[in-house]
Amino acid sequence: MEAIEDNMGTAAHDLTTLEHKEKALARYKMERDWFAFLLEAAGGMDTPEGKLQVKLLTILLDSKEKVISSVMNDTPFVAAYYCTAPEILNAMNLPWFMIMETPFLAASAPYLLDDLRGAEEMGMGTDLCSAIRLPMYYIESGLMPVPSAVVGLLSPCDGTTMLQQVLQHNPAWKNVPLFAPDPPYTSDERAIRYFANELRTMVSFLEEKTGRKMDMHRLREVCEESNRTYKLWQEYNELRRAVPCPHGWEIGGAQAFAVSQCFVAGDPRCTDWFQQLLECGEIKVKEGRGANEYFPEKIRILWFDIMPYGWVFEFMPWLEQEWGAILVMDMFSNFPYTLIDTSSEETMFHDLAKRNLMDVPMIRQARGTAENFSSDITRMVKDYKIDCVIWPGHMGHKDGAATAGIMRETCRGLGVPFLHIGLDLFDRRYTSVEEVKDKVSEFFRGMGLG
Amino acid sequence: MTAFDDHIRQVTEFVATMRQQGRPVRQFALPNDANHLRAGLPIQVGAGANPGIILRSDTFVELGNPDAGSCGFGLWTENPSLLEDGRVTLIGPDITESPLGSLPFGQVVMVGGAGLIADDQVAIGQAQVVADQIEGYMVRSSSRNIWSRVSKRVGARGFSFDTLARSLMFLIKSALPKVESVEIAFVTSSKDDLLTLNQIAESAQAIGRAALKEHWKARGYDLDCDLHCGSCHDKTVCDDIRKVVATRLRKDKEALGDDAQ
Amino acid sequence: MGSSANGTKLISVCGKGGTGKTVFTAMMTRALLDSGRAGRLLVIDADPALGQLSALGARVTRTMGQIREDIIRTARRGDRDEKAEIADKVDYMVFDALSEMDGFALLAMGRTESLGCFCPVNSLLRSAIETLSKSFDTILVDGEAGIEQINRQVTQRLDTLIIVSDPSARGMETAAVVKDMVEREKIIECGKMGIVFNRVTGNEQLLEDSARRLGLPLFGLIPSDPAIAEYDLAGTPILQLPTDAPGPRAVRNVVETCLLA
Repeated sequence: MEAIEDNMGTAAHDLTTLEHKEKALARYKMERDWFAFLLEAAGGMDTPEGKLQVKLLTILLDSKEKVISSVMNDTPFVAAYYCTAPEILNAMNLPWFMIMETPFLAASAPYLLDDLRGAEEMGMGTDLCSAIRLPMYYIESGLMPVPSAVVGLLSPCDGTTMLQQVLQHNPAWKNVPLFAPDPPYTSDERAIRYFANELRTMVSFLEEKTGRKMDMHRLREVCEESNRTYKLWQEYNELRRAVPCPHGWEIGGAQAFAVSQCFVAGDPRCTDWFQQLLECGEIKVKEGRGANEYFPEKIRILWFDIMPYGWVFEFMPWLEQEWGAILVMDMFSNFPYTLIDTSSEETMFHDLAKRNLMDVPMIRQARGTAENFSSDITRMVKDYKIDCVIWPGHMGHKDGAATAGIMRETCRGLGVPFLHIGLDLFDRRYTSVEEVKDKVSEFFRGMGLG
Repeated sequence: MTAFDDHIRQVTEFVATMRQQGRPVRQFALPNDANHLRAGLPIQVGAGANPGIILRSDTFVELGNPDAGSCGFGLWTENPSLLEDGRVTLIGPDITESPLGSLPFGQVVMVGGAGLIADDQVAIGQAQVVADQIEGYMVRSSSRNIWSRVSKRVGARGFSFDTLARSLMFLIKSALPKVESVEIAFVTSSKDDLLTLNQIAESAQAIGRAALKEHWKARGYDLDCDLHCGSCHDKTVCDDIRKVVATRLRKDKEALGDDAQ
Repeated sequence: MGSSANGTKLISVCGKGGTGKTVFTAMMTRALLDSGRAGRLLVIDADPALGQLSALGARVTRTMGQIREDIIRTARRGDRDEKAEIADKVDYMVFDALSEMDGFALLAMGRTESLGCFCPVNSLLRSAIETLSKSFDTILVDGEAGIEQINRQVTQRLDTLIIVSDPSARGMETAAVVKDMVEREKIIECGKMGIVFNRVTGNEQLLEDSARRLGLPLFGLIPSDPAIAEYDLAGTPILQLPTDAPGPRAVRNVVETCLLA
């Protein structure tokens, strides 16, 4: 990995534009190098799952290289989110990165704790979600490349809304054009049409601010490819209903979410990855092989949030090894997505709006009314033969915290044990890994699981 | 009158319309008694009856692929006389008539019981999520539509809509003793025919969501807290005042700009 | 409102109900005026019950609450031109609500009748107060209804927050909560914050220790003064208290050492 630049500790306000660019680029490359390291490690795994990891990391690295190239060559690139119709960005040939990329994708990186400490030293409240705090810190420290434009996010929580305000007050970012599609409160046809219009406005905004033009034929191609990807994902998800589940936390699952939405949406490489994932899974299902060949499946878990990426390597393998507990399904791996009708421009925007408003994880549950917490858990518990539901209780989830009671009641109605832990998915200091393990163990024991 | 009585009538009218338009409409009567429903079935029905999953390669018939069309919803009434207990209506080809095919799929499950109340809606909805309870039949894990597979193994045994209807009726009556009558309509004729059914579905689902909200409210949970701007009848006041605030900000900026000059 | 921008000092008084905030604020008004260093002084009575008015011997013709009602009414029923005019009129409306007293001005927040949040209306009025406050050197807010209300309706930033407590556990608990709201929850931005114990009848050392335990600088100890109780009971404006009475003397000391130093 590249050495950290000397001025890493300098706040963004004190940097010149060039210094800022160099500092941010150095940091972005450092993260790229972290994934390159993981790719190298995965390359040594001569298994179908290993090959999947290699393919995934290759796609990820390619998207990162595109951003790096854009920074270095001063060509347009965008900061956006997985839930702001990434198909549109692909169709407009716009490289992009997720503002919350590090917590969502690279929280296992060795520098993450230093970053969290840096955020605290900067005075950021520790009651703020770490997934928000980290990008705030990167922005304020000049560690995030300044894009040509920003597509903001105003749901599901106040934290994401606040992040846009941070951008608008930061000297390096305040003049970067920003458009945040406005998510309506309801989830009916009127809401979908409204949000479709927001996406159209977003396209106009991107055209104006980046110079890249939208070609509807290209959008159709991308959406059709996206549909192919999603059909395979749907098929793969059925495999995880098998007992034993063919894959655990490491494969499929949340990776599927990342490949379909976080790197480049509607890309044949992603479809190819899913095809491989599906084939790999089908073989295991036919052979009756479970996720972990050494530790047979005893407990089937629904983890109803993103995985604890800040300490995932210390916790998830332990679950499997200590308890035979397999993460069969989680919030981000769940597939409720509708396919995009590509018959016209109108139907494409309509269905992209529907997908990004009502289907994508976390937005689906926490933007709308709380019924999705209940209905999604009910469906997943039944379909995936779940033995217990775990709501991690991430400290930043004020949006979801109020629904813990609804989830508990739902699980009670289903006759399935429910555990609410209380932790930070990215910061191991909040609730130590050992404490989480103790709570989970006590829960399993108390509920007679495993 | 229960909230869905009108929808039940609409479904009846839909069937009549389909008949008038020349669609193949078949109706048959199944036993009323839950236990008799399972008699002679070529499959197992009940908890754990379908422990495995049905892979693509094992599929005899696919029902409700989004490309083919899908519409699934449930209705209930406290007036069981609105329904003919045990009646199954099939519009379009049967499963046995479409081996290795992919059919559009509409499924309307109508449930009646004098003792049914709005609070039973959750249980009625849950009873229709069959999960692993019908051997050789897997409803795919897709929340927005009903999309299912019949395995080759049970297809070879003659799994048909008769089988599916008996299974569903048995499961519902077993899970909900208050239910006195169950009637089911299946539509496999065309995607266009499902569009009409979808209109009834959307209206019913809106009522269902409202009832669900009340159900949770009675338990002390507000699914849709009304304390938000979207549900406030004075939202337009705030919208107008926001424009006023924006106007003032613009004027302030202009004034600052003038001062600077 | 930001003192750094135009030099205006913003001071607010908060604390548990019944600890004597209103009287303390009135005495502070006197002390600020007598110091000759407060400049142009604006007192904002953020008590919905307008408690500060009698303490200061003042009357107002209009409150901010009434202006708020007018704006909401116009936004609800007015035509387009009337709504657009709000942007220009609101400053005049707020200015009109100002009462000129002997040496200071008074603005009363009053109560609001309309149910509902109307956050944009609060923002609009808050910005109008901000515009008005640029004409003053010192602004003193009697925060009877709490700092959340001050943040919502008056200002988002203070130079000094004085938490008034009496020598009771409940008073100090409230002080701790206010401190927490400011420091941890950042309900309002605050330059400095301290505690004043009111109605002190001895045990000064204990109270100093309590302040230390709370983590709040002790701004002052105001002795229990029978004269204050007499004036209060008789409805005589607290402003008219003899300046050498123990209460006003102690408050003067707070003003001199903590605000004007």
